[in-house]
Order: sequence, then C-alpha cells, then structure tokens
Amino acid sequence: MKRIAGRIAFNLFAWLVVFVTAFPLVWMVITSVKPQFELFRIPPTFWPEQITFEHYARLLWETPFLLYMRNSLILSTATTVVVVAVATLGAHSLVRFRYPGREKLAQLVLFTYLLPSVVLILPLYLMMVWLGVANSLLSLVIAYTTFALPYALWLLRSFMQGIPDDLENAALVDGATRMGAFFDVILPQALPGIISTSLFTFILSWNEYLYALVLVNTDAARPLTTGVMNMLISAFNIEWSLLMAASVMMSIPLIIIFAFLQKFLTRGFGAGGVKG
Amino acid sequence: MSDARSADGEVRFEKVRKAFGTNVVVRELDLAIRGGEFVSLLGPSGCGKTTTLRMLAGLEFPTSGSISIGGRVVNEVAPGARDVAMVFQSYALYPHMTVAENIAYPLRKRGVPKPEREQRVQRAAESLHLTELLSRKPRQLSGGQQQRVALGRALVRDPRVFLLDEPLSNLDAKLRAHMRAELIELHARIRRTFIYVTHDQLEAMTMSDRIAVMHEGVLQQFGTPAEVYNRPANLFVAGFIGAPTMNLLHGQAAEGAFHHPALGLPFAGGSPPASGQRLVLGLRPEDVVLGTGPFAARIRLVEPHGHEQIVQLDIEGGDTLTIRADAALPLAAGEALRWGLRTARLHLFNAESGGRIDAAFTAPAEAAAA
Amino acid sequence: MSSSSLPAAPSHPSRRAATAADRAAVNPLDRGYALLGVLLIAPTVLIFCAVIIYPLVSALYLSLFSIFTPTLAGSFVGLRNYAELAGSPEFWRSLLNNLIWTVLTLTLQVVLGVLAALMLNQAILFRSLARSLILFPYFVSTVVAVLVWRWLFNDLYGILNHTMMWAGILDMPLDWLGAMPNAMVSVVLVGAWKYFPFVVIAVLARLQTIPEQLYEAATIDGAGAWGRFWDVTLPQLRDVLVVVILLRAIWDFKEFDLIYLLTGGGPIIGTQTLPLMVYKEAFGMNEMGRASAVAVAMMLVMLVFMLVYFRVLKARGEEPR
Repeated sequence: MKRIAGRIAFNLFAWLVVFVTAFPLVWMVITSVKPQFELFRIPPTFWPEQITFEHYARLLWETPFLLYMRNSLILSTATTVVVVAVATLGAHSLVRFRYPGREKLAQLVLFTYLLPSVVLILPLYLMMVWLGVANSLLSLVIAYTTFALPYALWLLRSFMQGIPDDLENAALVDGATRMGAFFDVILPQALPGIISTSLFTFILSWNEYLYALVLVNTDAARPLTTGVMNMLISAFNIEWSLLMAASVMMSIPLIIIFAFLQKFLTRGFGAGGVKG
Repeated sequence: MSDARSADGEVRFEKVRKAFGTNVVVRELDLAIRGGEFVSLLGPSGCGKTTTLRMLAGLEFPTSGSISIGGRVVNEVAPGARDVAMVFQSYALYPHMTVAENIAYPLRKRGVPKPEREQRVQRAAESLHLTELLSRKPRQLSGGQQQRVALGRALVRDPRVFLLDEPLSNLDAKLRAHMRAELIELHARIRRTFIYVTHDQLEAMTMSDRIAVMHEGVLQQFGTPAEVYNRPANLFVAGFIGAPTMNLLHGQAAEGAFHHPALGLPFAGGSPPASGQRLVLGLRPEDVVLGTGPFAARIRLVEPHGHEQIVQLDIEGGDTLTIRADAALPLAAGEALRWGLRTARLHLFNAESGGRIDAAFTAPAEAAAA
Repeated sequence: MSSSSLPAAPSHPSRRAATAADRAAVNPLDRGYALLGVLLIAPTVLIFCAVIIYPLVSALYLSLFSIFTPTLAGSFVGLRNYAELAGSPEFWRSLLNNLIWTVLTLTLQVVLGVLAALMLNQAILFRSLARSLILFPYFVSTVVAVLVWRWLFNDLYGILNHTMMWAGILDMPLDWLGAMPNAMVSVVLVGAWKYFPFVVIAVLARLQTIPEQLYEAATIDGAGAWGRFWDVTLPQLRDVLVVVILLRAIWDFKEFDLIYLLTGGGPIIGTQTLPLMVYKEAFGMNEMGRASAVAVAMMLVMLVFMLVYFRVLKARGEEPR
C-alpha cells in the first residue's frame, strides 16, 4: 500500500517536472489561439475563453512569413544536401583510407566543430561582399557549411566507424572496386546514420540566427529566424499572439521530425552528441 | 573462369615481409602451396597468419617480396581480380541483402548474366542445404546458417583458391565438429586450394594436407600433420602442437649422454652433441611407460578422463611430467612409481637456438634403476 | 618441465624495425587507394580551407587593422587594437560576464540534467512522451525560445509575474530583463532551460548501460538507495559528465543568439559577453578591426577549454565524440 502511494507520488512529481519544463511551449500554443484582447486580461486566463485562428491567418496572408518559410526551407534543404553529400564521402575517406595527414585532418574537424561562429563571421562577411553574393540565400548556404560540415563529418565518422571493415573487404574480394564497395555495401549500412545526420543538420540550419542576422538584410533572402525577430522589433506595438503563432509554425518541421523519426534522432545522439 | 586455370591453384610466397610502421608482422616468408592442397596456417594470435592470408587476398600489401597465384605474381592485382574467395571470421554477410543476393553478389560483380547467376546460386544453395533460406536476411539466420551462406558466397564463384579466416571460431563446439567434417567433404569434392587460418591445432591437424606453423611473423615449420607432430622442427612447434603439450626437460650433453637430474639417456651412434651442450629433451605424454622402467617419480595429481587418465608426475630436478595413462591403471596421488620411455619417440632440441637435433638414444641402463 | 621463451627457427632473422625501404616500397594498388581516399576528402578540405581556415587566418589579420565597417576602408595599426582592449574596462567586464554566464548556466544545466535523467530512468507513466517533452526545448529554435520567454517575462501581462504575485512570492511585478542582476539571472535561467536536455540525453544513455548486477551487488553489500546512487551510479556517470561539461562549457561560452535576443547585452552592458561585444564593435561601433581583436581574444580563452577537452579524450584513449 505504501509502495503504491510512493509510486503515485513519484509519478505526480515527475509529471509536474515535465509540465514545468514544457510549460513555456504549452503557453506558446495557448497564446497563439487566444484572441488579442484576452491577452491583456488581468489576471490572465489559462484556457482561452474562445479559440481563434485569426493570428495564423494574419501571419500567412498579411506578413512575409511564407516568404521567410520558403527561404528557410530552401536554405536548410540546400545546406543539408550539400553538407551531407560532401561529409559522407569525407567520412568514408577518413574511416577507411590510409594517407598521410589523415589523423591531423580528423583532429582539425573536431577543432572546427567547436569553433565559435563569431570568430569567422567578420571575414566571411567581407568574403561575401567581395564575391558579390552578400544578401543572398547562397551566401547563407556557404556560411552554414562552416558549422554544418564539421558537425556532419564528425557524426558520420562515428557512424561509419561502427560498420565492420570486413564488409568492405568481403565486397573487394567478391570483385567490387573501392567505389563499388562503397555504393553496394557501405552506403546501405550507413543509411540510418546518414538520415539522422541529415535531420540534425537540417535542424541546425533551420535554427541558425547569427549568420542570417549579419549576412542578409533583405526580406527576399531572410530566413524565419531573423524574419520573425524582425516582426518583433519593427512592430509598433508587439502582437504577442501573432509572434506565438509564428513560433508555433516555425517549430512545426521540428515537431514532424520529432514525432516520426525519433528512433533516428536518438541514434544520432548516441553516435555523436549534438551541437548546441 | 576456364577450367584449365582453375585447376591450377598453386600459391607461392617468396621472401614476403609485412610491416605496419615499425611493427614487423611477417618476416621473409617463403611458402609454396600446391594446387588443390588444403593448407592450414596455424599459430597463436598475433603470429602473422591472418596478415598472411589478407596479403594473399589483396586486402594488405606486402612491404617486400612477391606473392603469386597460379604462377602469376599478384602483388599489384586488385583483390577482386585474383580469383580467390574468402570466408571471414565474422562471416561479413551483407546485412541488407537476402541470402540469395549475398551469394549472387560476386557473380553480379563479374557480370555473369542473370539466368546463369540464378542457376548457380541455386546449385550452391543446394549443396549447402540453404535452399529454404534464400529469401531471408542474414540477421534471421543462426550462426551455423550464416557460416554456410558465407561458404556459399565463396563456393558459387568456383575460385582457384579459397581463403578461410578462422571460419569456425564463432560456432559452438558441436557445430564446429560438424562443420569441420563438412569442410573436409567439400574440399574432397571440389579439389580447390584451401588456405585455412586457425589457432586451433585440432582443426589444423584434422583437416589439412599440410600445416604451416607460424610464430612472431616467422614460419616455424611447414609439413604434413604427421611430420609436424612427430618431427617438430623446433621448440616452439614442439610446445605448440599436441594436447596435453609435450614435456620439455632442460639438461645437457655429457660423456655421450643426455643428462637431467632425473634421468640419463645415452646417445646411440651418429654424431652426438658435444659435451657441455645445453639441450632440451621432449617427451610426448603418450610416450612414457608407467609402472615399470628405470626412473622413479611420485604422483602429484590424477585427472580421470573416462577413456584415459592424465597424470602429473613429480620427478627429480623439480620438474613435473604430464603423462597420458591407460584408464585401467590403478593410480593415486602421492604414490611413488617407476617409469620408462619409448626411446625411439623422443625429441631433442638445442636449448640456445631451439632447433631440432636429430639424435638416437639407446635404452637407458636398467642398472641405473637398480 | 619448463617452457621458457625461446628463439624460434634456426635461421631466424633478427628482429629489426621497418626500414626506410619498407616505407618507400609502396604498392601501386595501395597508392591508388590512397589517391582515391584523398580525392574523396578533397571537397571537404577545399571547403574547409575556403570557409574556415581562410576566415580564421583573416580574423587574425583583420585584428591588426582599423577598419570602418560601412566603407571597409582601413589602415594597419599593428597591435594597437589589442593594447586598447587590455585597457578597456568594457572588454574585461564582458569577459567577466562571459565567465559568470558560463559557470552559472552550466552548473544549472548539469544539476537539472542529471536529476531529470535519473527521474526519467525510473518507471513512470508515458515515459517516452515525458522524454520527448523534456528534450523539446533543446531542439526548438533559440528565436522561438526567446520569444516565448520574453512573453512569459513580460512585466505587465507576463504569466510569470502574475503567478508569482498570486503565490505571494512577489508584491510587485518584476522587471526580469531590464534591470540588474535580474537580467543575468533571467538569461542564466533560460540558458539552463534550453540546454539542460543535452545533459539529460547524454546521462540517460549512460544510465541505461549500467549493469543491473552492480546494483544487486551493492544491495547485497548493504547499500541503501542513497548508497547505491553514491557508490554505483555516480562513478559510472563520471566519464560522460566530464565530456558533457567540457562540451557544454565550450558551447555556452560562445553563445550569442540567446543572450543577444533576450537582453541585447543590456541593461547597458550588464549581460554583454564577448560574442556580443564582437557583434557590437563590428556593426554597432563600425570598428571591424577591434571586433576581430575581441574575437581573437575570445578564441584564446576558448582554446584553453578545447585543449582540456582534447587532453581528456586522449588520456582516455577514446575517440573524441
């Protein structure tokens, strides 16, 4: 009897902790469906007295939100594709080939993985101006490789180290070339790792703020992070419901990734940790 | 592959040496293996046997020396073009392919057309009792079944040379005995060159035509199982082959005889070692006669094994002999008893170099016992 | 019977180290493989050189100039930027802020993270849902996190002030972000909320690999719940915690988004850390050269953390994660 009471108490406590942790996000969703006037009620209401989606409609049709969304999708997808393609080949090379300088290179990858963006951003800014690509999505894709590539390389390297050498050896003896063995055997084995690396890289690019702030100052190339912040800063009076609706919309891709692909995410975590 | 070529599976290592950085793994290896022969590379782990096999497969490259298969030097030939098949210790089955796809893979890589491919996969599967498993994935198979798929993948190509890297070490004891018999049958049926790496002397002794014993990167002896057992070339082979291991007694030559505190053995004819020479006498556990003989001992321990008993004898000079005795002999720990030797089956080694010395002994004087 | 270690075959070649000839005699096949390996890594190396190595070197170079950001016109000033920094109270204040922020938020992250991981390792109802909810702050964009928290912190309509006043903790609404030390406390709290899930994931993964026998053995030896935690769980967590703390220290130290978006470094420079100072010098003061000098100085501090991290990984003889 005492044990059961203890279990119940522990469960209640645990879920209280979970609720407190998740509360800001719950509050975000609740605020986003409250009518504007209800926000300024004192004391505040917890459950909305009436649910409205007017903020979402306004967000989509009266603000550049969809443009930002489009930019973010293009940007994150392009970064992910480029980075994962380059990193898959690179990680394969680091794991399964022998040449001078390989160890040093692996260390360099780890070093760059920990490098602060703020050190690189000024020269990158100058470089983009010089190249004439400043203020474009391309400049952001280039800038995003600075953190996404070391990260993806590191993650994929640990995934690929888990694939037994003998699989490639067997393919070689069976008549495959090195590249043939890569495509026939290594790639299918690395696929779960490649998928989770892609997901993490996508999230990383989706959430990036600093480069977008410095390198882009036109709506045409602005991603969601700086775009939505702009709506806060440039508004005459802050429309919190609208911002919360934007926050919810911005998090939807993450929720989708989270809900459907959780097993890949946890696997990615086991292999390499996650950039903060 | 044409039959004329596949008939010729001769393999030759000439002055092959392999070093990883400053670590020399294989030293000046000379080894000539005849086509169709079953050869085991036997030795403790780290002796260079696996590296030797991998050099033959083309997965490692010799630092110097040459390797040839069927008379062609293959040092610079890619693994897939050497016409060798390999069975890995881990089996290395492709996890994302079915059994049929696994077996068909080497054929696909060689551009064998699909109908022929299917036919050959079918045939290989039949000969290994894999027909029902063809559509399964490797992770759905037992260890023994995976083992057979790995064999099938090698077999389907009909290569000149089969390379097997400790293929049975992941199986349980019963299955291992069964697979040993299957491998012997397979070799007898297809008569291809088999090169088999193992650290298990029982596997090497029971399956091989010849055994190459390796230690610390050096080939110690290359001969038939009987030769390796009956005429070990040096102390390492003597101590490595045989279970229980050979008894080694350190002594020296004096006045035309081998001297040890517990026994003296006169050399017979020939050119006996010079006096003062330090020697090691090797006695197999089964070459000692218990109950009668010129020497005295005390029984330290008796291990009954059912069909025989293994006895440890304390002899003078602080040495202990391990002896194989008839199960019927009444023996008990602590008893004193007499023992003798089959002098024709003794082994003598140079204590400094470890090399074998061919020497004959005359039966020890019974007078010494009296 | 003795079986001393013995020299093997009579014609045993003396053990010698690999000679230069050994290394020179490279097999063409091997060389081809090496070439292919280099080819596969080449795109990575090129990109690294272009967007990481080159900017890194130019950051050092830029720090020796005085550059006006809007026109990018500049002149060489040698080490003057560094000399100015050394004499600038703002720089030292930012460094101090940076250390305060890092130490406080990291401590909270680790404590909360370990506790939450221990809790989530127990059998609770809907455990996987609970885990997902706890991990979500980590994956959400910093922009989203900051917007939500700024709404929670809102002095007039924020739920935080209301709840605390209702509970009797506060008499007056609190200015969470606009006054010191509140701003630093708020930033630290939001940082802890956003990043403690990283600790949870790492610790939880480790907890699940602790063999049950260890706990059984400890129980048989008379350890209570507390004893089992202290003598079994904690030592097992030590390794993973060292790595997690170092990684998070590096990442927290260089954090820009969260602080910049919450307080912009304010009030005045109350929460300004070095990354914020770099941004302000470059784009607020239009002093790109001095901004680079701050960035380089910040790198030097971070190198200490990184070296410790590399040292720890090496000492453990394990692959860096």
